[in-house]
Amino acid sequence: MWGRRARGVVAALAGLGLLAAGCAEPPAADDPNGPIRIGAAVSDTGKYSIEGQAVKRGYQLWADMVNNELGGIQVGDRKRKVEIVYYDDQSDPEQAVRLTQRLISEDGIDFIFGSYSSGLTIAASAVTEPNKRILFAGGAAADTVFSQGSDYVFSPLTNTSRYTESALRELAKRGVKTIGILHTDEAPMVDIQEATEKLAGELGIQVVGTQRVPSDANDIRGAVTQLRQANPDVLVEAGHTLMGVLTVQTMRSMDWAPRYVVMIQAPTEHSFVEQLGPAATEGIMAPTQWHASAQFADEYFGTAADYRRRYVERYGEEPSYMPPSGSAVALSLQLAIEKAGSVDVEKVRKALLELDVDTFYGHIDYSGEGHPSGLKGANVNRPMLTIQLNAKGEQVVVAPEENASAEIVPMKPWSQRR
Amino acid sequence: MGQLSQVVLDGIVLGGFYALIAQGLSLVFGVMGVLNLAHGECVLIGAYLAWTAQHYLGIDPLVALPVIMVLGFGFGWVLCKTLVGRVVERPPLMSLLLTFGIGAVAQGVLLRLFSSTPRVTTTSYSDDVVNVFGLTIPTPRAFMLLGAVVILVLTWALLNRTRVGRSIQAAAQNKAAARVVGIDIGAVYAIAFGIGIALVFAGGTLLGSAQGFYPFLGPLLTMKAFAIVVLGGVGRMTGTVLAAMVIGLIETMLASYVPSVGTGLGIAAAFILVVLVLVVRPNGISGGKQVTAGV
Amino acid sequence: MSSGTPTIGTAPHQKAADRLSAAPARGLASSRFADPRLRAGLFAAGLAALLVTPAFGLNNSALLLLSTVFMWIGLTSSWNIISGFTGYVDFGHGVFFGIGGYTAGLLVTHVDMPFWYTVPLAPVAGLVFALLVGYPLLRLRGVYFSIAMLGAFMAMRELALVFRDFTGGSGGIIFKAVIDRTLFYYVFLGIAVAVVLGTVWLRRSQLGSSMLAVRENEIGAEARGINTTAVKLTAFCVSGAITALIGSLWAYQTAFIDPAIMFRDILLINLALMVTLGGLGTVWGPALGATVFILLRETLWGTEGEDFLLFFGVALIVVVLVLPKGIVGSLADRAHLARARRAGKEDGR
Repeated sequence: MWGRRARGVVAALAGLGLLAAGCAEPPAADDPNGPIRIGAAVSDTGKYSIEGQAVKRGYQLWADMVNNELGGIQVGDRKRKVEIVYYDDQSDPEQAVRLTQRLISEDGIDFIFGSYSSGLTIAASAVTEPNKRILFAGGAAADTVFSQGSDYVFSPLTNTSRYTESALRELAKRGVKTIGILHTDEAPMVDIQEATEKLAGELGIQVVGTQRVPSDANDIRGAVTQLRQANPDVLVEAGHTLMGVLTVQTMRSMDWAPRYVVMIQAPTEHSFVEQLGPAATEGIMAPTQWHASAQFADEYFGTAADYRRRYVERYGEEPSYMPPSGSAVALSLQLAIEKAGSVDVEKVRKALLELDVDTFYGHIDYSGEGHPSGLKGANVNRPMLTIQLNAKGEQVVVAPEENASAEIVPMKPWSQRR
Repeated sequence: MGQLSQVVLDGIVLGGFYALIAQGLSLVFGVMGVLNLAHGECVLIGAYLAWTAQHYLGIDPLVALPVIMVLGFGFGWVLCKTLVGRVVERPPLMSLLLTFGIGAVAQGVLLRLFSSTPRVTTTSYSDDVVNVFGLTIPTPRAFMLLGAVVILVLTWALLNRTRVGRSIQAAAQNKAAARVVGIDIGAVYAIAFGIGIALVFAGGTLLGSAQGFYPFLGPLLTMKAFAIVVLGGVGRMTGTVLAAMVIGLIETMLASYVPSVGTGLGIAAAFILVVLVLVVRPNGISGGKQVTAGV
Repeated sequence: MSSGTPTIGTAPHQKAADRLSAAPARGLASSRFADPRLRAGLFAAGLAALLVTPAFGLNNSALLLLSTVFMWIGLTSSWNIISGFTGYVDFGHGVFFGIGGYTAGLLVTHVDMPFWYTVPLAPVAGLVFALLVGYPLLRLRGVYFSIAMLGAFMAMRELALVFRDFTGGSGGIIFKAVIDRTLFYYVFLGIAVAVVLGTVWLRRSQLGSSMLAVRENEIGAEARGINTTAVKLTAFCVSGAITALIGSLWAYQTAFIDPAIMFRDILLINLALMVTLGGLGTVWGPALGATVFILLRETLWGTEGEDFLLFFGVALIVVVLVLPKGIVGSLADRAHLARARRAGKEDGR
């Protein structure tokens, strides 16, 4: 009996040894005639699968554009195609760390496209940083990702701390005096809450109530009741799509419609209007990283509208802000390699920091060492757009003023809808 | 004062829903000694069925409810005959692991079919509100409470006034004796499991039009139902309903009176209550049956 | 290979493999591998191989993979002490993992303590929590205890989120970690070896026998004068303390923790699956289950985005129905049957 067990263990150890021996091969060095290899550990499955797959589509759309339309990235005097090695981190941090290490040590990859959540990105950056590999955080926007002093992490997304800025500035001009905040306990949402409170103070808007709810709460009547009693002019809701849906339902059931409502994520998702109907969502505002009507353009993807068309053709549905974010982070890698004329990590990193370009995603200008914001590798000067849903459930850009195509409209009472 | 009575009413509505799903768990556990860790996922399957019926066929959840309950019974019956029934007489760990696995599969399937995007079943009365003595309840929530009460009463009648019900009760009390008097214990298990799942499918259907749901909600519901069963005592319907009300009230009170974070304390409060009760009264609030069933 | 084996007598550890069959602790025959010197030799040889492995130019990725295996061996084997030996299956064991990680995280951020100083304190925190929670909950039987622990797990996650000023909430805690894969390879190897050897020792000790007695018949054990409360609490505390220790090390190595990461559901599923696969309540089963599981995951996953929830769920169902005693338990059964047939005359009843 013991023998069988012992043999089992020995066999398992032998297997481990063999596997380890297999792993011991040194990673392949960069072949200047082959494609440029890029790694991507994204969440194909698990909790962040929707977001992970959206970002992944953005990466792939870029890779296809480079390979099929440009014939590759111009590196010095030759064109090199790109190849993305995808791994599924299952939304599990243990796997994210493990796969990032694998991309570096086994696949010998220098450029890594990141996953969706900020937590997974920070865990991955702890591996890429000491190994001096560049991590492109195509799906992470929390300030904490960029305040670690990491030299090799870049993201073109506007940071969470600036999400509500354009909306609040515009609303302040319209004379709003008070604000209430309902937010979930996730890191980016807490960032947004803190930044919003700070900004409100600067704009002379009084914060009359803040309610934190768990991200998986399914009943927020208590929190909304407390906010309603404070009766703010503006309600800011910071949470994922579910919380947006739930908030609208709860407010409607209490017959409470504040003058202005800003929601962080839900209104930018098409499912939001689908679920609640355009009558219920009319007038709700939301910050968005990107919108197809925005006046952005570059020579590769064309205008924002062109990007949307390309995406719809390829995937048969409207893009949220996530695929363009993935494509934009990849585009910045392409531009940096072309500028550096090399795939050497240090040269590319230097080129990334010097990057100062307009793209279909807006302006990209990564912050470097000693930036007053204290953030490194973040696209600090890019403003956030604010959209408002109209009576048909369409998104209309209402702020900042220079990008707006319509005026902000106050919310109608629930009884006047339908 | 006005606010307090509103909070109490909200708590009772929530408690009604909890009573329904906890009764499903309690019945299965009382009869089979199987603690169904896929319980919350079953609630979600019911919710998604109602959502599908509404979304694609335009059938109102309340109309679909009886059909969904029949489907629930069938699903539970098949599940019991094929999987759960095989581990009933084995050590309790086996049924825990098995239902744990079933829960993971259900979650995976729901995720694949419906994605993690939250859903809510929109009905013609979604936006309506019922006024009771100056207090308001959204109509879907009123239906949730009403539906729970009706279904629980019917369940009580089924268990106490019919032959099948008496067989189930007999099996719950003494399996060996039940066998001796000629009750087919395997069939009783399947029927009890079927009824249990029918109850949670109903709970899911009612829940789905009252609030949003998504595939990861399951364990939370399982935990709530479990806490209620422990507090109320296994196999005691009055105890279950009472405990469900207590948990519902605690939850709405915390959410309404604890500033800023009250909504986040649902599970922690329920759990602490369970621990306290168990320290004082190891057999649950209403005493009675030993909390040792299933070992 | 085991034919013609002389019978050497009764070794108490054999019962470990038979835990689910609830076989009486009577004289069982033994195999030739019962020779303790041979066993020890094999073990030492394997260990020596693992000790020198990093010297053969393994890259960091391979070292991380192996240290992950060792970490899970530590986790599964410690879980096995409470869940397998005493039969009180802990479905919320991840709570200790989280407590360990947060103990380190909080001490590093609030008290500015160097990480390595916090390592001995993490198991102390796990132990204290085990005492506080275990005392009331271990009075519950079977499934009640299991799911009450799941409640403890979810409640602690909730509290870690809510008390933001103290724990950092969802913003989490960031470690300035020195990520040294070789160092952690040895750390986790050391833990795995210690826990497995500890289990071997425990299984032969009086305490271990008392744990099994609790599992088989708690009331009977009490009647025989075993202080069952003390036995259960000891198992729970040991198990919790080891898991907390591993949690603190993992947290440091991951460089970032938040409640969703430290108290994650997948940890519970993995634990249950690995141990059931290897053989709950056996000495070597958890280690084997962890090894097989991680290596399978490594080879089957990674590139393809298959749905792991579905896969794990189905795997768990199949294991429960087909291999309820796990690999080790089933092999032991077969060996036991064969031996019983052979040795029926001299040794049998």
